[in-house]
Amino acid sequence: MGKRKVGALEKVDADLPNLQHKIRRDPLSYQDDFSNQWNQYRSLIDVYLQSPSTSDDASIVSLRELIDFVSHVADCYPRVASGFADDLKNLLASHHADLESELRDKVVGSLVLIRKKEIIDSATLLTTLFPLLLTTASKSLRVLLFQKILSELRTANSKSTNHRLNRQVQTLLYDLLASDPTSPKGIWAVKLTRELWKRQIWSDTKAVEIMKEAALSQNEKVVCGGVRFFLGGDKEREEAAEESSDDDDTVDMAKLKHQAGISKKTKKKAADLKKAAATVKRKERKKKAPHPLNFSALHLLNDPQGFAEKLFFQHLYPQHPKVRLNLEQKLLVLQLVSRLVGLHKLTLIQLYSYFLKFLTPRQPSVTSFLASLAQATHNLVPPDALEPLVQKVANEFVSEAAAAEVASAGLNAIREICVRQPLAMNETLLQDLVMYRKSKDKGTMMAAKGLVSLYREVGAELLKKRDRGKEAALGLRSGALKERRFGESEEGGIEGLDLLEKFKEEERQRKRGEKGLPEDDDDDEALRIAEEEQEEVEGWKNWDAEDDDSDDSGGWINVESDGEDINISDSDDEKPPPAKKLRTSPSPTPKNGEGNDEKKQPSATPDPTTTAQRVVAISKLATTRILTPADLAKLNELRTQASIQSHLPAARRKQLQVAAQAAASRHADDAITAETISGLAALSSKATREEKIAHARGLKPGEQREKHQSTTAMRKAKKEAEGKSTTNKEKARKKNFLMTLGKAKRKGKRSLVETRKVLRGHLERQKRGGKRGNKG
Amino acid sequence: MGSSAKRKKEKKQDFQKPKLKVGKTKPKAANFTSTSFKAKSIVLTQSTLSTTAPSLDAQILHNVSLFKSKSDSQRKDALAFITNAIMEHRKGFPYQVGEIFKEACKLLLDRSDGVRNELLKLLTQLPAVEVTIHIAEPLLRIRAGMTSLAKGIRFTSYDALIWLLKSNGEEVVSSVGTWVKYLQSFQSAFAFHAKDPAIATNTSGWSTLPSSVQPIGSNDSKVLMKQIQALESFLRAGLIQTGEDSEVLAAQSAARSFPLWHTEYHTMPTRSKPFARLNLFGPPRSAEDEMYDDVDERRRVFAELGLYRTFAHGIKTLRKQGGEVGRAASQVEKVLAEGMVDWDEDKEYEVAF
Repeated sequence: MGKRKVGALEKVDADLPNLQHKIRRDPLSYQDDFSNQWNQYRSLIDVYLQSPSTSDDASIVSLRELIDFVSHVADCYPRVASGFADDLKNLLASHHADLESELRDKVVGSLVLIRKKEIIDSATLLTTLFPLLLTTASKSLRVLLFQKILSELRTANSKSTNHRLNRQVQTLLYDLLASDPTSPKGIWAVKLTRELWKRQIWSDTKAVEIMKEAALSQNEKVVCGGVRFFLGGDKEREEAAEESSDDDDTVDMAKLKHQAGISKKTKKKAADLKKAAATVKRKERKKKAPHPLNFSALHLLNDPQGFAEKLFFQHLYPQHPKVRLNLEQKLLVLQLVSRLVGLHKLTLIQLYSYFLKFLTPRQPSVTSFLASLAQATHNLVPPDALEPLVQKVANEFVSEAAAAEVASAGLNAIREICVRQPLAMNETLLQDLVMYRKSKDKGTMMAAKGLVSLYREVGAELLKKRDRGKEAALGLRSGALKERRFGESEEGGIEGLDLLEKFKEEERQRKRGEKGLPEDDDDDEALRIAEEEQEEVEGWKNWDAEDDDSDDSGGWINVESDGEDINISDSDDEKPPPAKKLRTSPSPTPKNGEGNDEKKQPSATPDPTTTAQRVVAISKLATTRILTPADLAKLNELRTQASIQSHLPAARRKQLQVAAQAAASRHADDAITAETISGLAALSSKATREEKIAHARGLKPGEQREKHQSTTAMRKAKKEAEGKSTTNKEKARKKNFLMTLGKAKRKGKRSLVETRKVLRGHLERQKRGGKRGNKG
Repeated sequence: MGSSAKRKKEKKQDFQKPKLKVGKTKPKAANFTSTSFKAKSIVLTQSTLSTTAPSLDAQILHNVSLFKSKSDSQRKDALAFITNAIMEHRKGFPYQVGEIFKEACKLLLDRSDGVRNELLKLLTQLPAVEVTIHIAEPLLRIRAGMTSLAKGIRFTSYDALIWLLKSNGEEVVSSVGTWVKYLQSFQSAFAFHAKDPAIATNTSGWSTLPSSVQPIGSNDSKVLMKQIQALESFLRAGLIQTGEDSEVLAAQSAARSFPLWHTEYHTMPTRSKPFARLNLFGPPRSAEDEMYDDVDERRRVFAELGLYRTFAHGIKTLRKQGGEVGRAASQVEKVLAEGMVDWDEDKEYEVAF
């Protein structure tokens, strides 16, 4: 008896996937089936709700299957399944604690699925999931919810930034932190924001505001999360961006083309090649795409002064702060405060006296305190606030009795402070410290020498005459080297502007020479003006042409403001940036003509006079004329030319000096770490032989040399790594034994050339004494 | 040897150091074997070690616990045991029958046919009074089973419904949320569509199929017969007044317990959830969830929601099929006619919409 054939949907009730598939193909015909299942789903939900905690396994399993089924096809029957989303939301909101875990995950997954099918919008989904994230006690659910929320926000922002949703969520997070600063739930706001910042989905002031609120909250975990974000969030973002860019494996186009030439040509392979080419092209375009402007979180802060003050007075200054932070956490906060003070040049006088009690060699992680102190110093800090600190460091750390590491760390810290504020040092102390130049310990000696070289540049008169060195002494005598007073700032300029001026002058003279006019003739003013105007018009002509070849239209990025201006601190107002004068507005303003008139005088006297006058002349060029695009291009060219020239040996020394200067005034954005302070201590102890060898090899300490190899093997490996092939000899030697048999058999049929080669080889070997030779 | 390019490549791959990245999970080794497993409970094939447990009480308790067993045959045997026990010990059954009924109802949606058949046998043995109190338990599951994909489950559900209506008809139709929802389930199970153009406007294009098209898997005439039978008993219980008027009944009971006044309010209630109508703690009910414990009310809702028209039309088409199905359908038609005899359809229709 044969088996009765059963229809597909007759078999078992596990056939929901089958029905789902059919419904997807033809929703209209299967409406009744869907409504049957819908009814079943409704009754099972009722069964479940009757006794949520004591439901039996079977009904839970079938409910789970039905929820899965309905969520997959709900979009086909919007009218019948209208209550589905609400059902799920209610189920999750009221029973998330006692839902069976698999069913719970399924409900969450189904909500995300119907969001993808656009039955509900992101805001609804997020407002359902986010409160759960805060309330649930289950760790696995929290992980799932966090991941879903994150991916939802990512997808919502994938095509274009969804400002509305972002604002909504950001407000939600902000309110969470602001409403109850003491609750540990704020950690979720921190986690979410940090993750989104890292992926560059949120990079606006609002996200920074959230983190600011977190840093000022009253729960230690939240505080640390917020502070760590400011200290490391940007670095993390950069690393993530780098990783994602080098993550995608590169396609070797040349290799593919080569293979396509060799192997069998099929349509599939051609398509593959085309696809690979498209990928490469896309990647190229992506690589060339303009870099998105990512401001660091520290720069996006609104009111950094207020933030730094609040941080300091809330977490550090009071005897009994609201949040008890341990030393490590306190150091983090201190780092952030000092970073803010240093970066934005804030004034927070109490901060310096706060440092005072921590500056003893016995204080744990004192180098971090020293680094923070150096970081918090800038040229607008009153020297009398710093002087006691420098004095204390000198007293506590730098003495003959102190250990070498301590002394070098102290000297180094003093130097770092004085780089930023040279006025913090007085004459007696400096001369005292300079004596350590003669210390036997190398670390201390180097640190002291660093201090000397610093003061040769910034305050040579504080040094004794014999310590000043030649250049500083000469500079002092000529008056070029002057001590800068408190609050005085250096005037800026445009690099290479003098070169441009010189070039223009030469050009003018050359033209005049061609026309047969006397080279140096300043009577003919009108002619000169006309010449210059003509030149300028030509310069502007080039504007459009240059505009085209730089890919401009795609290159501009719209940086959207959030309606909040970035607050510029008061200290910035004092020195208007000189570059602003260099606005290249496309239409020449009437000021242009006036500028030419003013310019007459300095350029009419080309003979070099005193340096002071020369400085005036240079600054005039930028301030009196609008530089045309042609000028800017020339400027650039001249700059590169000059930099190439400086590589010549004659200019070497000067160049080195400049580099040293650049190192001295490190970029303000970089943080100073404890390693910077304690770095020189490494010099104090003598290196062991192994360390020396490792150093000579260019290995880092602790690194091992990989393996011992013969030079030939290393050479071969290198060749292989470069993608080069082996020699013919190598190939012959490595040839499969069986393949060589045939040739050996044909010994009698060797050609004359081959025979000759063999005989010669024999002779050679005899002369050498064996295959390898007997040279030892 | 390692001479071929492929072999060389393979060899090179062996010596390549995997690139490790911080924050990423370490790649699994090629020969990695997952040793993780998931276990909910350990099922022993022989969970009963001794069957010579002396007391009947203990045996019943044990067998009721076996209702949750993983093995089909064990569940079936447990049911059979309980059935026999009830049959043998009608007087002085040592265990609460209501509790057994509650547990047994969970097996209405069981996947095994044998278990469900055994369950039906058990149900027929239960006294109607015990069932009344726990009637909410089976009602939801039967409704879920009526539209199940599995034919067997549907069959059992209809059987159970017929039995339930026979023993506690009035109680079933007047329970919370039963009347309308069951009718809707019947409608979808029969694939009746609202034919009325006034209603069809709401459905906007979904009801274009001819009603002769049956949903997949339901075209078995045996199930269809059962379905029609169940519908007939359901409508009969819901639409036709059985016995006397409630006032007459009240008068009779008062006469029986003459010297006492309002005795029934002081005794244990005989129906399930006697105060359900008040809905003291639940959310406000919609028309679907409301309980209709009066015949007239049920009739009104039946007509107002347009179900009367739909069913009348659907049954007429079924009757036209003739044969066994036609005969059964004509029975339903009779019930409909009897139940709605004094219902002025058009008038009420106006009121409803």
